[in-house]
Amino acid sequence: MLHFSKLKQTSIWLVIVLGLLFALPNFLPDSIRGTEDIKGQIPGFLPSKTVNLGLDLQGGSYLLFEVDTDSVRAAKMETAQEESRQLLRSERPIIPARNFRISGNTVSFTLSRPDQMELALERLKPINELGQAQLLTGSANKPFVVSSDITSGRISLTLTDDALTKQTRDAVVRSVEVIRNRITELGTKDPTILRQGNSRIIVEVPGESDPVRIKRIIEKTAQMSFHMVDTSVSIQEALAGRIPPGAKLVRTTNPAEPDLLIQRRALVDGGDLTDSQQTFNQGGQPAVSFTFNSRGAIRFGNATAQNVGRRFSILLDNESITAPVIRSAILGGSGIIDGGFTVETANDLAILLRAGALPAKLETLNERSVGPGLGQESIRAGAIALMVGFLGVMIYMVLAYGRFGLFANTALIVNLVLILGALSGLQATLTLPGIAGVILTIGMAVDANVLIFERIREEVAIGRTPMNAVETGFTKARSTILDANITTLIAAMLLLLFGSGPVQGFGVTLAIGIFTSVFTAFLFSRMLTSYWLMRARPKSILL
Amino acid sequence: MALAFVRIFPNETSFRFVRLRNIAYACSMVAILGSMIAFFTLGINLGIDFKGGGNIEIQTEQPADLIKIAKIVRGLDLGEVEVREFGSPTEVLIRFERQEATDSSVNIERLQQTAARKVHIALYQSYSNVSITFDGLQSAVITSPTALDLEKGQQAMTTLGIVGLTLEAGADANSLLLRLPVMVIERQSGPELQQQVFEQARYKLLETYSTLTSQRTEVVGPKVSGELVRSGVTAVLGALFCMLIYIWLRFEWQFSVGAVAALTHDVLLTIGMFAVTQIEFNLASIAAILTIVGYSMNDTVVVYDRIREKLRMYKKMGLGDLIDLAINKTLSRTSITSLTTLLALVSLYFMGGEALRGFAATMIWGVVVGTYSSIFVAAPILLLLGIDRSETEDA
Repeated sequence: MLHFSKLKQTSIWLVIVLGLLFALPNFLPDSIRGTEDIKGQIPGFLPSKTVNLGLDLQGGSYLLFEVDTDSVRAAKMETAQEESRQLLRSERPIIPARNFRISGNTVSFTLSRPDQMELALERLKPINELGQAQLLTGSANKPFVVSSDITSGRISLTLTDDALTKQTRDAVVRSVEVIRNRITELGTKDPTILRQGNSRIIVEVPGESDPVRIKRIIEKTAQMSFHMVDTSVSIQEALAGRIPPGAKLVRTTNPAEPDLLIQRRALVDGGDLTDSQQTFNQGGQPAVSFTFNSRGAIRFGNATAQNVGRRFSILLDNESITAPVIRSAILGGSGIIDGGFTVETANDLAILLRAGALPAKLETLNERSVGPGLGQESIRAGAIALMVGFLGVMIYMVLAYGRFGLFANTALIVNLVLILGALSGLQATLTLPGIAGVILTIGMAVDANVLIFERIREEVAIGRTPMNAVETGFTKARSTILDANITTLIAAMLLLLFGSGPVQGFGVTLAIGIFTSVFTAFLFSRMLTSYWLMRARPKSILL
Repeated sequence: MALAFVRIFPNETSFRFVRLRNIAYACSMVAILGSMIAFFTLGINLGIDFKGGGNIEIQTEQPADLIKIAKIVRGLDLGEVEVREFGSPTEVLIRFERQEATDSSVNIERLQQTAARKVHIALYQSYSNVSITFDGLQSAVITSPTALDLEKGQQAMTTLGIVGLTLEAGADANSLLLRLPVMVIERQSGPELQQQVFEQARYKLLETYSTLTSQRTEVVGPKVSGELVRSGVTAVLGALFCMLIYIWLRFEWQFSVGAVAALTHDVLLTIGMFAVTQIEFNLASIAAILTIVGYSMNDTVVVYDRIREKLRMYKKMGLGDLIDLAINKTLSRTSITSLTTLLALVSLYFMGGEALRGFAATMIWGVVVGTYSSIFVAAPILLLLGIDRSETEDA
């Protein structure tokens, strides 16, 4: 046990030097180490990464969102209803239907003439093809189950659970993209946007300690669409319940005209937008400009050409933000929205439109934010506690074991360097509980050495020679050290598995600490002991 | 090198631990019983991680006037609010309860208002003149001078995306009955209400104290807090189970039963400590409990290892004497490791900052209890269970 081959010695020293190299960047100023912006002075092959600080230490915001499944379903059913209505009227003969109704996953309606059933079902086929098929890639299953009753003329389209799940997953994927776009527009540094499970999204924004601002920009669905204003009945009549088929009432942002009757079918929607900017109208008021892609431009151009003199409404999240009269056909595919904005609200809307609409409503489940000052303070307090604990343990080890205590202390210093090196090298996140983990590790790390030293002492007591005692001590302590550390490792692993956020950081440092402790106690301090024994050849060991 | 080493125990001890086992069992039983009583009577001070709710940590330039802050925040009608100093006189922690309908009638009203407003809008599109009156907590009667069509009302609600509420036929043609199932109340009272309340408080405070800076905010919705409770419990039980298996594989089954009994003892006493001291129980506390489990196991394994070794060495020695011998042989190590760990933890407690103080306190308790249980619970239990000596002779 005391003989170390050249290869083994070199490997041990190599691990320590590597640990040192990886730990070193943490103590270098940015100008030497280099950051994303500044070119560093360290040669490229050397590590230059510092410890990756958690949001609780560097300051920043963490938000957990959930995509609202109900709103995904509601939107889907709404579209299905409109689509069915359109399909029945798409060609001659028009198939009249009434009593459209959505309940849960089913949209149903009654044909005025049940004998048109076969024709109706034929017309409705595209609802299970085209648009749907694109969304539900990789599935041969049809999203809707169509059932019909020939005697009553009732047709029901039921969305399958499978299709709904896929729809939700799809909504999450698109939401992640949209959120990323929006956050990037805000100009924050290194945001992290991750999908979690089937319906959740994690947003981490370092440096931004005001989650309200982020939420304001994220939670808006920003679904925009252009609709013709329906003037076939007066608004009073509509409010009294006589809403023409295919029309709906919406709220507006204009206090002088709180309700507006519009056609359900959109002329164009936000999906066809290519750009949007904050600008000013002719009167010098803040406004938002928009530009359509060619498809949107053609559709918008045609619609405005056909409806000169009538009003259309721009709907944002089911609320009409403006309803101007069309003065002439808008053919260029661009225009501006006047909505009584301030520069800030106009700018926010432009960001939202550029970034695209969220496919569904988001719900905040959890938010944490830490100011940068507090993070600094935590690091400072943690470092002081570490140093004090470290010194306390080192002093005690010398008092308890003399020369061997020094070996253990050297191992402890190496241990700390290795932990820091491993954290930097693996780019694991160091959190506040993680700091506690490091401090705790310092206290527990000497255990392996203590076990060995106690064994050596016992062996000396039964009269073995120093060499022999040390040799036997290390051998006998080995399995105990392994057993003891594996059990702690089990606890650390469960923390990694089930812990969330900051607590996972504790599991990380605890686990790393176990490996470095075993390495330093079992290989490094043994090697030191063997160097000393070889050189000094002591006649007796005092322990 | 002729200095006296500072040790807690002399190198050779021969305490008769096993002889004390009945006293130790009694002490442990009383302590566990006490912990359970404390748990059920005093309860545990659950943090927002597990209960839902919000924390705001603020910093003021001048020492904060806690009474004034409490007055502002309580004025917001948020249910129970805790305002206390956090670490220094210029730092204040404000803790909100989870805002939910079942908490107080005030919140139910707020919730009803929201629901009523939504339904009103929905029906307004069909009927210009409807009024809603709440009847009890979960239902409302909708009336109109003209006849109300049920199907039309339902359709209006679906169109506006109002889910979970049900609309039924009323007592006569001019009225409808709206029901808010409890499920909906919970859903609605979750994040939405929470967020509103939270921002309200923050801005109110900022208005009054323009100089304060918000240091830390946390909001945990009921959904997430429920999940955190589950994963915390799973982690602790999972750890106990894995240890049971590991020890069983490495030793005999008696050892694994003894070890897990000792661990359960530690966990229960730690829960008792939370009840007695009312230290906030949060995510870090789960981490502390798992670490205590790991630490205590570590200690137990060291003693067990020695027992196993002695079983092979002294085949004729009585089990009680043998256990005593093993404990005495490892006593010096046990005490030194506990001491260095405590040194690190005490340093963390006093220097590590307010946020880690609860964690450090829990761990200090755990190290003490864990050390005790390895010596007085885990080892003597072997005597109770008995060990098949014939098998170990072959090993």
